[in-house]
Amino acid sequence: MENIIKTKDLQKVYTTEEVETTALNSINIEIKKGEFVAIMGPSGCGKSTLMNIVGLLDNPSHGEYHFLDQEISKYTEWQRAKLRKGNIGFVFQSFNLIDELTVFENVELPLLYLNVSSDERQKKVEEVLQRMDIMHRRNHFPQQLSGGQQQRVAIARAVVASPQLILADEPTGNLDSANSEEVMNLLTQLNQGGTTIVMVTHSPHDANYSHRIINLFDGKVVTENIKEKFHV
Amino acid sequence: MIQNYLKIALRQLWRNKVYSLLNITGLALGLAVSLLILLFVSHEFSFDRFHSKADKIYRVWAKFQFGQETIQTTAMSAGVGTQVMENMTGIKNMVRIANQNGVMKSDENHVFDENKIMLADPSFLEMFDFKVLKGNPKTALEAPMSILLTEKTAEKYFGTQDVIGKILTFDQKLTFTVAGVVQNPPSNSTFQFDFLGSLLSLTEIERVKWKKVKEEQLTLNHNKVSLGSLQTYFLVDAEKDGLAIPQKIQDLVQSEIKRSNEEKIKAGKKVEERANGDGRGDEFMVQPLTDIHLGANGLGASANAQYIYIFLSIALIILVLALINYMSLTTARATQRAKEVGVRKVAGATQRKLIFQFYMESTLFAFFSFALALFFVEMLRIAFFETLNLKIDASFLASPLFVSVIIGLFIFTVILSGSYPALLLSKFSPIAVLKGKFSNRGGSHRVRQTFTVFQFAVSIALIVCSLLVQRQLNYLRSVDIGMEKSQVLALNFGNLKEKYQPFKQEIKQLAGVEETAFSNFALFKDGYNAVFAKSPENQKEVMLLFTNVDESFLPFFGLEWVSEPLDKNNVGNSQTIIINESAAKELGMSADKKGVKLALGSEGDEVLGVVKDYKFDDLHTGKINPLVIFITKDTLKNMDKGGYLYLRLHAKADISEFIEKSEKISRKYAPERPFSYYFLDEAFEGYFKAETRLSKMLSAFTIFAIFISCLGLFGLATFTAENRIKEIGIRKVLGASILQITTLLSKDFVKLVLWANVIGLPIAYYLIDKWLADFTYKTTISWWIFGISGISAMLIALLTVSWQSIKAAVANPVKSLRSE
Repeated sequence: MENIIKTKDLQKVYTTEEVETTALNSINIEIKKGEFVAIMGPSGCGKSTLMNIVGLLDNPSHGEYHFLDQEISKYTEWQRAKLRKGNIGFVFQSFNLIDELTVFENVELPLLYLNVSSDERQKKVEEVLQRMDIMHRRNHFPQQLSGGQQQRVAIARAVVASPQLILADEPTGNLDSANSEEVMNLLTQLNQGGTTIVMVTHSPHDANYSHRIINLFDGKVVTENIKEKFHV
Repeated sequence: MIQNYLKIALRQLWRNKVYSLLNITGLALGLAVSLLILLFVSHEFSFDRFHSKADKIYRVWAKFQFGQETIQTTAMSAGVGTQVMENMTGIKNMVRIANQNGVMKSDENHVFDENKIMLADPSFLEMFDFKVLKGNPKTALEAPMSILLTEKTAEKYFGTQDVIGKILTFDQKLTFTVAGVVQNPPSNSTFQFDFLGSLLSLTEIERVKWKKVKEEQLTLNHNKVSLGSLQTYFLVDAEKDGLAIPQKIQDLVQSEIKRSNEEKIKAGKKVEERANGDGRGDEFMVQPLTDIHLGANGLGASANAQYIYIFLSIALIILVLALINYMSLTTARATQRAKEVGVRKVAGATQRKLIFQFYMESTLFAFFSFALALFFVEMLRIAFFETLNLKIDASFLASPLFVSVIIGLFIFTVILSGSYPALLLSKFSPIAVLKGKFSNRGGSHRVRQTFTVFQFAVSIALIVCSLLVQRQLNYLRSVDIGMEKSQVLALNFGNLKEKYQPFKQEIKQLAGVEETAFSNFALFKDGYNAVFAKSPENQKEVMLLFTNVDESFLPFFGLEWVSEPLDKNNVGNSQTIIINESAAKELGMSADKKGVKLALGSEGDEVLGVVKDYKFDDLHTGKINPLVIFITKDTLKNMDKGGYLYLRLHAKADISEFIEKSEKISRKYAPERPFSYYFLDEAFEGYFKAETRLSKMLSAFTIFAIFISCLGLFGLATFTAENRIKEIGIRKVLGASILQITTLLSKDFVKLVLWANVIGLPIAYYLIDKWLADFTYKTTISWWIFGISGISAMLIALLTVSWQSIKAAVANPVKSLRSE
């Protein structure tokens, strides 16, 4: 099985004037295309740092990071932005929708940066809004939506460019149980459609949707639980 | 994509109405003020450039030495133009110009005193781009006593009638035939004429005015190359030809001396050793037409280049203040925009794309601000011109120069206003902002603090400068010039001959008149004639200004004697003069010495007495010029050309009634003459035109600068309060009082204004000290002005931030903490 993510001795050290904090210490993980992986661990264990590096938002201090078979640990911000575009979709705990844009415009954003034509954009956005069952709210602004609806818009935005990888950072953290359920089902459906999903979560319930759980503690991988056999 | 950027920018603008209003209005005000100043400045720089051959036209000027005085003049003999033209290659054309004034009359109801009558060679209309609207430009200035009227003048004398062939009487004795209509000279033309007549008319005028004139004395017959009375301009092929003119003139002068010497030797006469034609070491020079207005070489100081640069710097500072406001407010709101930046980055935006986006937003803001600024300019333009006594044609606003200034300013605004926000916002790390760990108190906060310090430093410096300029102006107005000039009205009258005495008596009897005096000069208005004399005491050649007055002049203006005449009855006798202290000093005379004779005319004039120096001209030069006063008993003798009757009016006199009555009397005695008068203190004020203008502009700028700085500070205080909302909540929960919180929030701003004081006050001192150095009569730079300026800036700043601080302090902490 082909790897989408592979890290070797990955390390991230934050240095301030007074202290040096090792956020990640010698991380070696491999994630295959089409996998659904949950990352768990207590607060401050390095989950988000790992997500940022995996999501090409940050560079590691040491070690190697292979994304789609490219070693990218030394990439510049500009190179990372180029690679990120169209390949990775993000879902955040706090939705992070742009308040000044409507549902349609928020979802359209990644396609704009990919220079997709206007007709094509319209088609793709409408398609994904239908899929997320939020089409009827296309002209609303984020503040006019419930939390669950906002997260569905965020997921729509994350998948509209058909990325190979979706990184979800506590996607249900701000949602009630009914909405959480809905979001997890959407992610599962996307995974079943072939999209690789890496999700950070505190919730064992949500982690149960994944194929594999990576547990972090003090910046290190402590255990890896394969919950079910993963077939492509 | 651009559509998306525009959409978000417009929605941002609409959603944050207060912020947008502060930002757009602040920027618009700054732009409006800058545009108004740039309008003035570009107008000044555009002088005479509208002539298509402007860069190839040169005016001749000369310097000569008289005694210790260096005198500059642009007045040339008629021969300078013709001889240079004949003897030099590279000269394409030349024009000689004479200025005249006098009374013009078309009929009984249209009689006016005119002082903008220009006489010029026919080539004037070929060299300069003044369009002849009616009549033939090729022939209009050929015949003697042929004249063109400007559109304005044609209408003033003849209304809508066809003016060609109409007759205008000049000074009652001559007639001009109207040859056509020429466009009104634009406001940015050095030549400002109402009438444009043929130069040949000068001969006719001189023949009538000077009565028994010899042919060779006529200005146009003076074919030697020397100084004279005509302004002379040359059109050249190339710059080098223009620059070669002085040498050519010098050569012509030399060959003339040589020829004249040879003739003298032939005739057996003695040849005098002379440096050149006039024996004064004349040095000829040229000045490009486009340099004339701003008075390069110290000539033609119709505008003061120094003040233009001061205004230009102020325009720039005001603009920078407004732009800083924009940058400061935009980056202060970064917290709100940070999330968007983060989202866009994870959605694939590169930093370059984000920079482009924020530049677009700045462009949009700049566009709205510009539209509003143009509206402000249109609203304020007339008042601005009037306050500052400026004359700028409305058509100049649409001129290519000013339009390019507007476009340039727009581009400058967009580039500068967008730069810092674009770079700062696009650099945000998406991780920090999306995880809510973003802080807006880092480097950008310090930059904004620096901005605020800069804004207040400028405001403080401006407060000090405008207070001190005002103080200097008050000082100049009140300085003791040695003469009593208040409540004096000067009536202009023409040649009344024997009617002068009854005229004077009738005026004197009007209610409100306390005393009268006569002078042939308009005090504080006219220039003085000069005579040159060799002192019998120290043999020095001295230039003396002179004036003719009557016996009451000295007591009228309260002039004091330093050395009284032995017999006061002799004052006013012919061949006697009075001099001032400076003249006595220059001539090396001890004040008490009597009977000294000065050769001013053909015979010697006896110095009867010395008066204490009084300042009779511009206060800028501290030096009081040597002055000769001719006092005449029989004032008739000096009234050939008329003069001024000075009237001291009672403080409670009804001025308008007095003017009405004196006009009737004047009309009775001189029906052919337009009635004119002026107030002495107003004329004196005219010497401080530049300072008055500077003072008014500075006051206006100071208010603008304070307003703009306060807008910025208000915006900053708002966002600081927002940023510290959690901290305020916690402090309140822990027991902080409203006063403590208000103090906490205001303290930072007080510190900034203190820094601004530290920077602004010394700069203000330096600038004002430098400015005052040019004055002989100057006020003291009092420390309390600095104190007041600093304290008022502090109070204004406190008032501005207190609203936000108090609002934040009284807010319910539960709300702020819950929202966290």
